[in-house]
Amino acid sequence: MALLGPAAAAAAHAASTDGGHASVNAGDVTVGILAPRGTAHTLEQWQATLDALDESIPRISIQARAMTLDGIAAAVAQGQVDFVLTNPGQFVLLGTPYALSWLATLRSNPANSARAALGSVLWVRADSSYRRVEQLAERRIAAVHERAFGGYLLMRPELQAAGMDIDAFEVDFVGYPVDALIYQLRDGQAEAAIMPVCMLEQMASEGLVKRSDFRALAVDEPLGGCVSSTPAYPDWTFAALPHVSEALTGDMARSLLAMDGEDTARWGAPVSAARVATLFDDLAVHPLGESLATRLMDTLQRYWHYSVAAAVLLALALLYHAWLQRKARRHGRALEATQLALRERERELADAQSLNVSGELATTLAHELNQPLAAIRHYAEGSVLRLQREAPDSPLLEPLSRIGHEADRGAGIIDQARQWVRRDAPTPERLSLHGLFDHVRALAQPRLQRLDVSLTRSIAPDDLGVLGNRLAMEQVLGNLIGNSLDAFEAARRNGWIQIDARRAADPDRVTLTVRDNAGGFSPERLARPFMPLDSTRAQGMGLGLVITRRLLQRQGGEITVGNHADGGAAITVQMPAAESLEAAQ
Amino acid sequence: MSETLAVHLVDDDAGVAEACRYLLEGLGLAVIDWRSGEDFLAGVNLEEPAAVLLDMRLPGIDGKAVHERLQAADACLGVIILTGHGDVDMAVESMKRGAVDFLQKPVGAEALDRALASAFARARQCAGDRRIRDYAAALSEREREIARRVSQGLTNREIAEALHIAVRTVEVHRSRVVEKMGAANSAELAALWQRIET
Repeated sequence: MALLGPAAAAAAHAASTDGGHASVNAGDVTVGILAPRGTAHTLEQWQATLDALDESIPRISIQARAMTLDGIAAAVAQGQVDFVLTNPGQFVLLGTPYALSWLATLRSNPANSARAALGSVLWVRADSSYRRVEQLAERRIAAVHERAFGGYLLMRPELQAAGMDIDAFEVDFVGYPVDALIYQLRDGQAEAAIMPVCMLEQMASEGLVKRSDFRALAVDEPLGGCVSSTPAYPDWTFAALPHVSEALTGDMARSLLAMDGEDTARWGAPVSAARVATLFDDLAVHPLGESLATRLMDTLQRYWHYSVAAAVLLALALLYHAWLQRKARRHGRALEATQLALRERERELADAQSLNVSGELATTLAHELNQPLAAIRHYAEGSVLRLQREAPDSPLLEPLSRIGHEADRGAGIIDQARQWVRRDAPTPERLSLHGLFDHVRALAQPRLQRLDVSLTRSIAPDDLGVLGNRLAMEQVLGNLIGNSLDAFEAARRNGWIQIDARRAADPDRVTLTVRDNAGGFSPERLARPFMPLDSTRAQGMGLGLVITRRLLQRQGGEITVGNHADGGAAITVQMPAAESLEAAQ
Repeated sequence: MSETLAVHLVDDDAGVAEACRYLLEGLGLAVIDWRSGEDFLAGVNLEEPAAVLLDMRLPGIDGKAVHERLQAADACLGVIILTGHGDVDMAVESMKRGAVDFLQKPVGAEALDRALASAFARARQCAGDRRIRDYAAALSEREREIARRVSQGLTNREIAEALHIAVRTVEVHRSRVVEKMGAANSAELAALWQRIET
């Protein structure tokens, strides 16, 4: 038989099999052995036992593989070993899922029963001040492995029994061999160490450490002459994997039980691991399911290079994700802005559409109204012609010619509206602001009087003029004053309207401001002053400002709507100055 | 030649047409009403010079098409286009087709009077030209040659030499041509001939 370290054993194993299960019939039998104190120690410890097995079953050749907890778990999972020798904790974890057959339980100490052989000890330095478990909170505690049975697993309930959250203990899992823990503790790298029972005593007997340098905490009943911090649990167990033949399993069990324990280990019938299972239940480590986190950690450790690659990929992915998110955020902001602009555009389009509707209406009206207006004019002028011939002194001549003129004026307004809708810019002419206001004032006079509103103007220089279309500008100014008068009427109060006109900072422009003290626009109205069909007035279509703006835009003008501090509206209009026409000509 | 010409009024709107007739009669004009382009084209006497007030917007054949057919018929009619909305393109197009004027409704009496005066003048001119052409068409080849030379200001002797005929023969032809062309004398014949030759 051969005793091999994990690497050599794996090589030998690979050479002896075609992969898959270990080949039992060929005579090579692989035993996976948990190696808490390292490969060399383990193989030396079990040499005699394995030799005895080799001898008693001549048809096989036993190869031993010293393994870690994870190594055994992996080997069992992949069927790379035929037998395993490990602590009961691992048996419980592996036994059910992999259908292991329990052959014999170790009786390492004749004084102990197989049922009470394993425990853990919480060691501190003898000269330290720690007396109770809870004092170790936030201190570094060295242990082998999260799932080392004669170690952390058994100790964990004791730590929890100290009434503290298990996370309060800073347990550092340093891995096999167990010896390292005691050295770390001795050298002050750890404040406490969780060890299998009897381990320190054994090391002391081997002369590696001094027993008196260490002190155990949470001491329970002694176990086989060794100090223990936990209740006792069954000893290590020898088990067969399900693919091993019943004959070989039986032979193996008989051979184990037949060992005298002189050089070899002593074996007894397998003992129940029920207590272990109960412990695991308490620890919430169900045999059928290790905690996801544990599995993940195991996997990560086993495939560390993949893990590193995965971690790097993950990091890259996260960076990429972050980059994408940033981009998305930026994009999102841009999108938001675009959407706002779009909504604005849509609204304007809706404006335009409702204006187009009124435009269609205007076109139809223009034609339909033109006919009767033409008829009126014809009759009026036809009558004038007759009267001039037959009764040149008739007092009807004057009103009849006025009828003709008014019909013509009406037709002019209609044509203006039609051109406005068709976006035919009317030919601009020089318009005196005084002249425009005289006209508009005359129109508004009845309402100004009725509402007791004063209308004052300040135009400087006196001959200031704008370049535009007379009818359009009359309509603009009429609308602005009409708006103010509407506000006064709605507020049921009297007051003033002031008109101020002067040259703008740009000498080619004229700024015209209409202010009143009628209370001003509401915030809602100010937010969308040019929204059509949204009148704050009870009557009217609310098209006043829209039309005003459109009329101004046609003439190269603009309008801004606001309130002034003294409680009223302030509407500012800019128009091309009249001189710019003369300059152009 | 100075007798009053009629005005054809082509407008589908009876109210406007009636009013317009009232105005035109106030101006002392004779009005013939038509309610559609089809009626007008079917009923109008194309031989008779007249003015036409043609509304652009008509049911069926519209004003533009009516105008085109009048042009094709070579009628001596002074056409004035009336429209509800005067846009520049339409005006330019109408004038290219030979309209006398382009007026936007509602048309004032003054503008209408002015435009009609032009239309009548155009119609008369057209009718005069046509009559001269008709007279000219009735001349013999020899008479036409003599008429052309008269319009060029040649004397009877010069014409006789050019045509290798007797002066007396030229004198006979010449007086017959003046008569056939409806001219009062040789000077008028020269003027008439120049009108149709150019």
